[in-house]
Amino acid sequence: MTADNADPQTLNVEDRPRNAKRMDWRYWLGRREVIVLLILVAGSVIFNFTHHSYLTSDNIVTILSNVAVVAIVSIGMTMVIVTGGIDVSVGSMLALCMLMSAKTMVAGGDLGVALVVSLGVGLLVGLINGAVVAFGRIHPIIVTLGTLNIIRAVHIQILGPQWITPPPAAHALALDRLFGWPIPWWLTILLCVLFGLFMARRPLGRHVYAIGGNTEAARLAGVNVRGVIIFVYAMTGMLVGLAAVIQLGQSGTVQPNAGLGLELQVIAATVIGGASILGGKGTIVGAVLGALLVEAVHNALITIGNLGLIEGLIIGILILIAVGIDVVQNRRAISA
Amino acid sequence: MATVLEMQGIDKSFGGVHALADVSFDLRAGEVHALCGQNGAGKSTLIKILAGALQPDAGAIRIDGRPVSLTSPAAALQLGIGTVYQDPLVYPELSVTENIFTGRELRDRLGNIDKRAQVRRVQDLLRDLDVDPRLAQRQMGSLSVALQQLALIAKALSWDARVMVFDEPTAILTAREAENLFTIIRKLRDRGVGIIYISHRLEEIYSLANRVTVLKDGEIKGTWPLDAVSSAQLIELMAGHALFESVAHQAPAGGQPALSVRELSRRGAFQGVDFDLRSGEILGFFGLVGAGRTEVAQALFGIEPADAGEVRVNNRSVRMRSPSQALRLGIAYLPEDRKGQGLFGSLTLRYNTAIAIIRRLSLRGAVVRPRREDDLARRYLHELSIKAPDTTTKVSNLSGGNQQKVVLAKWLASEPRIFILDEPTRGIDVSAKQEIHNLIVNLAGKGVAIVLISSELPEVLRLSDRIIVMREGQITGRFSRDAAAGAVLAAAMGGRTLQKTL
Amino acid sequence: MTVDAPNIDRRPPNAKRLTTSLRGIAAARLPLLIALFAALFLYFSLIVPNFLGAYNIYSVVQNGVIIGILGIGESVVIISGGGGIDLSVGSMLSLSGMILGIMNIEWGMNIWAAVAGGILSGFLLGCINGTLVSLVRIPPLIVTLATYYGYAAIALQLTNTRPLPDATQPNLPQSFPAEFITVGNGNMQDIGWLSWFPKIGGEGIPFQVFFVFLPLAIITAFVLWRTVGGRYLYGVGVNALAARFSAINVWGVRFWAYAAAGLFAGIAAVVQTALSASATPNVGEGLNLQAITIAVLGGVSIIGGEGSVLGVILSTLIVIFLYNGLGLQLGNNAGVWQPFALGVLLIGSVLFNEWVRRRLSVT
Repeated sequence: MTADNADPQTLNVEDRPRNAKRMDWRYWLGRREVIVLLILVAGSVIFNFTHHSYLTSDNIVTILSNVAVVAIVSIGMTMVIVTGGIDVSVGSMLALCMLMSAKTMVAGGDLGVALVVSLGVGLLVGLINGAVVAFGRIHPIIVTLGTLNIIRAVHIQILGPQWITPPPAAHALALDRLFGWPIPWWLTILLCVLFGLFMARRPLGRHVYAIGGNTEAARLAGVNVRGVIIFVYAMTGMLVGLAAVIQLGQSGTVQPNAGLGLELQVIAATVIGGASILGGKGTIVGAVLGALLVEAVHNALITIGNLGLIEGLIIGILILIAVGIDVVQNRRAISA
Repeated sequence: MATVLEMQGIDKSFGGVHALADVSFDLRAGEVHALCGQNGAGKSTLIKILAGALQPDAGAIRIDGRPVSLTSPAAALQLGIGTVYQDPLVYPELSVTENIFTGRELRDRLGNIDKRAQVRRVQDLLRDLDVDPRLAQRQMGSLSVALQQLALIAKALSWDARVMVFDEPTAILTAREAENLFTIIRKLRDRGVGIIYISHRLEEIYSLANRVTVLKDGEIKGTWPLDAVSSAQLIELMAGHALFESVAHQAPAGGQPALSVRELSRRGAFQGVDFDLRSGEILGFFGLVGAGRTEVAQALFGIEPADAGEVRVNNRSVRMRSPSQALRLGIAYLPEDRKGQGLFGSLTLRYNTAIAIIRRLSLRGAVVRPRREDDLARRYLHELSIKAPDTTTKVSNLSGGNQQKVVLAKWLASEPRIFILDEPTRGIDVSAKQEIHNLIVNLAGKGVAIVLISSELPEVLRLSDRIIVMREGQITGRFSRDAAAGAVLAAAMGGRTLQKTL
Repeated sequence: MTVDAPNIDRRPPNAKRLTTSLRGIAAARLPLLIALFAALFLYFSLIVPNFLGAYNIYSVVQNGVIIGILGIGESVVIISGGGGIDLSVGSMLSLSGMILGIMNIEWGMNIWAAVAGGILSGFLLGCINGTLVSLVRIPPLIVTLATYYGYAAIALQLTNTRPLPDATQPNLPQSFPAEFITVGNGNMQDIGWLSWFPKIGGEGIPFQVFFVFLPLAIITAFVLWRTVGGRYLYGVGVNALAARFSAINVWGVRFWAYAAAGLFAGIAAVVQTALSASATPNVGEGLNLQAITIAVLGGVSIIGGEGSVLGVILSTLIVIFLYNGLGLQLGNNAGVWQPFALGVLLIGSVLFNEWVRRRLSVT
């Protein structure tokens, strides 16, 4: 049969602008990652006209090193949100992981041991979150709201009245540079690539999307839904464990309110990066760029000086714009 | 031609109602075998059994002469039975290739998804169908329904399907898309795939199928080669004789119309709908699923307003914008999806009956008077003989027929002058059906103007004073109460051959 | 979705008389809460000598009022369904409190006018949430996440993070009027002719319990049980589509739910400011999640359409008694175990309910 006979399909495929194979600018401009990146670059350059200290290498290093904790956790959060879930316990988890690795250092453990402890604690908590969500059939926000409280309590109980200032074993990881960039940022890039590939290439990664897109269809296709759900929460726990060691190296101490409010920053980064709270949609790169944008705004406001306090307002507006665009684009006929 | 699929003595009942009784059916390699029957004849039960979504109570299924058991959708696919449903189950955010391979990804040596191999495989499948292979990498959610359907056909073929079941595949396609689908179906047929094709459209059946099997009330009426049976005969076989006797009901003659509709249109849903309805009259709306009847009803009730045309209620021109406006004008609408659109499942019977007119039952339209609310519920509990222990019973605990009565009660409570009933007896048992029929006739007797939308021809024929038939968004026939079943069915199904015979 | 037994006949006959239609929904949850409350009460009575007479229940109750009010507002939002949740109640509280403070301290307005201004601003903030949710149709979690940030930021910016009254600005009044502070700190014993009122912990019933929390709770309960708006709220939460087909304005109802949560946050801000005699810009931090916890523990289903004020009051009481009991039992350590117990209660009670529901639906 000639191509003529199949023309209806041919036409339909072709007359759409989205064709991933070609470098179609409309396709790329429609990608959330690209939009966030463009806003980030253009915004920084424009801002630099009035505040010349902004795009200096020192300040860029500051931004890159400060963004790591939120960015790394947002990698895990993206996976959770793509399944249609949410994890509001990451802030408490970060505190507990920081504390346990600090204790390890106080007891003489080196960075490696502290890392293993921190990752282990994160994994354990993440497994609990995942198991309760998967088997208890309770809404993830309730589960993690509960563990948020529980973990914070455990953290404060173990911490006791004193702040802990461990030996600077984590400083190398948190503050050193490699080829001019801070190590935490290199770690962020490495994880971003690793998890980006994982989500794109591994069957398990694709199953995360399948579950968020259509849980019932995924179950029928033989996807182990519970397993995948436990996996994403556990992974988030481990990423929090890593972020905790970086945070510990950067701040030097563990306080009772460590990590307070982290969950909301991370969710903001993820959502700005294009993840849909309804599941099925979102990318790792988007989340990391979202975190970068949030951090860049934070830094810019500090540069301006007296505007630092309205950062939250700007982040809020960013979130609303990011999601508002999505909503207006996909507005469904009957949404009731 | 060799027989690929055999079903023998299949039996299936739901709660004592026989959906399929001793059904035997065979499918040869390289044929298109059409399956016909009215709504409720058992077609969907049959294909659900084939797709592994339902298990038969009795009977045997053989593929290539070997007995098989289709215990799950996955098992059916593995045995080479692919099903393309009307309403495709997809992951909208993933690509076509990923939709096809989720759950059984092709992997490279490292265990990563071998995207290239997957895409290549899908492209090969698409090329075989003469479809643009670039479809493989498109995002599923961005595709038209027709292209999604193609993707699902490719999915079935990726399992090396020997049997393909198409369940009313053209119901949601444009004529051009449908033509294209037929090309593909013929191609599959020529490659030796056995195809079961379900459709209400006779012209499609005549242009595609080799044989046809007619199902009626869960039983096989017979299987014929298509050149041995005329479309008039087919319709006769499907329609049978009216089982119900006509009810004693006579619409009053003359008088002003209670509802008058002129040239009502909504783009993509229905065009140029014209009719008058007098008080005390029952106007039947017949047509196939998707013919646009529900859309007309919802436009009249203000759910999805029409874009053009005129509606007059009691001779006053109105623009319908919201259900509450319709309610004020004395219009009620019993929706077709009882659970989704009609019921508040976890709330009480009392709540459900009173909610539409709760303002009228309240002090100053704000503070509910529970006594009145309860009296109302009690009244309908009694009047409609709803089988529920109490007015505080949760409606999700009631049977389908009683649930439908609750939704009816909700709208009866509003004392409508115009009542639109959309599939009022779908999925409920025979005795409840009878009661609802009586209720409709009584209402008409009290002077309520009734629009009765139903896909069950006997019901429409039995109750209606006049019948309007819709097809593809347009009115294709108007009949009086003594219309012949065949003529009504023909108007609903269309078809060139048919027009000639009539 | 309730945990009622599928077979309605199992309910004892006289229970029918007690329940109104909507209370029936929460019926299965309430016994659990009451049992929990009784168990806690019993436990602490046995473990802690003079449990009720102890001094700190008074301050726990005073603080409990604030979180209780927020919890009720949060419940209304969650009941409205469609993923309804309000993460911004704490920020609305902070911002409304600051507006109250600015109106009175910086602008020198009459304190009661400032109180009205604080309440009104809470209401307007809630209206912003409601508009974004029901007009723009952004998912509620996102809307209120954004306004959580936004409102908190504005609250901080208004006074440059300094609380009011501000000791660094001697030209401004250094305190709120005494009669306003009394509202947050006085009790029924302070009014001579009301001294016959019962006491708790050796003190009278705090004003904010009697004059704010109880009236609010009763009014809300009445609205949810007996008014058309309440009927609509549950209907929209249970099945928004059926509500639309029943001529209910679904998005209008949801708008008012968010507006109500804002109004309640504004009222809570007044109580908070009066109690601490100061308007503090970050006072609402962390209250969001507590409010959600109280609502869910009280039996409000996160998917909407289910929950009662009585349940929320009980869960507030449980939290208050738990905090008090743990405080007495553990002393300084209590601050640690209070949130812990709250978390366990939250997950445990929902798990238990889910388990009961599944068991009943099998039989």
